[in-house]
Amino acid sequence: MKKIIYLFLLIALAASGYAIFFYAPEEVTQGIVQKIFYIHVPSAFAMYATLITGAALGLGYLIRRDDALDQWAVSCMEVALLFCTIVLTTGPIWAKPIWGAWWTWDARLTSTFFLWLILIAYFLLRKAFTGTEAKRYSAILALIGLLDVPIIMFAVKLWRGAHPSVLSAREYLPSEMRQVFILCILTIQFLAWTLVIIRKSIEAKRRG
Amino acid sequence: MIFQLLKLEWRLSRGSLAVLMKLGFFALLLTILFYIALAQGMGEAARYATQVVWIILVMGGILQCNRSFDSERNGNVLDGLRMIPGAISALYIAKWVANLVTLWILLGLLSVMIMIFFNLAADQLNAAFFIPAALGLVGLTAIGTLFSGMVRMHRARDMVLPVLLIPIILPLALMVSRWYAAISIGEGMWDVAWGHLVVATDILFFASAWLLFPSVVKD
Repeated sequence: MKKIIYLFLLIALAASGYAIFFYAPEEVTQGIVQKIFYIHVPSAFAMYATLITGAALGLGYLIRRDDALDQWAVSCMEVALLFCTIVLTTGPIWAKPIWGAWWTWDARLTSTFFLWLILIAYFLLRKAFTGTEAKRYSAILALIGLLDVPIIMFAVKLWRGAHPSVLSAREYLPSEMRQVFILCILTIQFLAWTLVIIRKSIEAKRRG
Repeated sequence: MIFQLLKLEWRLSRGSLAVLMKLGFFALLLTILFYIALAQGMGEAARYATQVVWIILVMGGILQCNRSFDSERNGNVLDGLRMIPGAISALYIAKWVANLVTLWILLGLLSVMIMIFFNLAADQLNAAFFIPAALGLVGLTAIGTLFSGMVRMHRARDMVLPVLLIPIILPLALMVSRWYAAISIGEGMWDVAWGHLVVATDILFFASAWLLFPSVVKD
């Protein structure tokens, strides 16, 4: 079963790579660098999906004290950190030629950066404590961190905003670009959840 | 029960007036450091006075929250409280109020220091000077008290608490700073969204911390 999932994932990744470089048209003003959009935005979606699930599983752990829920929670949070890092890395690569700077204190950049700091704090906390304390406290931090997400988004958006709104811009994408974008969202979600499953099995083995 | 625990906290804090003195001295030292860093000419530093107040309060707040559970570290105080229904939530509120009141007193002390060292006129110490920081401290202490409960037994709690707390309170710190910035350019205190956002965040932080606190102390 695992081999079939990995095979499908490989096919999806190859198909997405092909679609990004050979099917999607090149954006007129931004050129080739715009192609990073197909990785950057779906990675942000994967980050939010795994973060929300991780925090929800943390809440489940606080209620039921089931070790498996904590294993799923830590796996989701680790994948969320990975995709948050991808978003923060691909963003500046895209921004440099377009905005002329690697980093601006733009609303989305700042809010994603704040979120990354919370995720780092989550793993520092897990390192700082052991046993049930690490599980309980990290679940609490994840829940507070999740509550913080809309506050961060709202506060930073009110502060400043040069970042394009992707959800509204999607309607104006040419159909080939939209198709590739949707394919990339599905592929990266597939990748993220496969990573969560792999990470969970490692965690389960580690804990015996 | 909340009032009994509050009375106890008050007695403990009266016994440790020295802590408030230390916090006040710490605030004085930071005020001088900020002045040195910011003053490029006469009156220049005054522009940043409210921002400096807020940053010093954030730093002082972290120190204050860190010692919230000092009296419960030894012995089996928390074990005893766990046996009494509702005691844990009441303990949280008592600790939070104690921290908040201490930091409000610090805000008062700090305002005098800032007035002197940053050459502010006495009428500049008005509601617009105090309210943003005072409200910002509500949310900061709510989360700070919760996290302080988590790190109370940790060897490196002085290091662990800021590392956990600062990422969570960054948006609140940003809001209070922006609120002060809006006031400084002549906006009405409640005419800008920042003030309302700070209040909403305070409510959200307090409610979530109060609900989650029993999970911190119960195995």
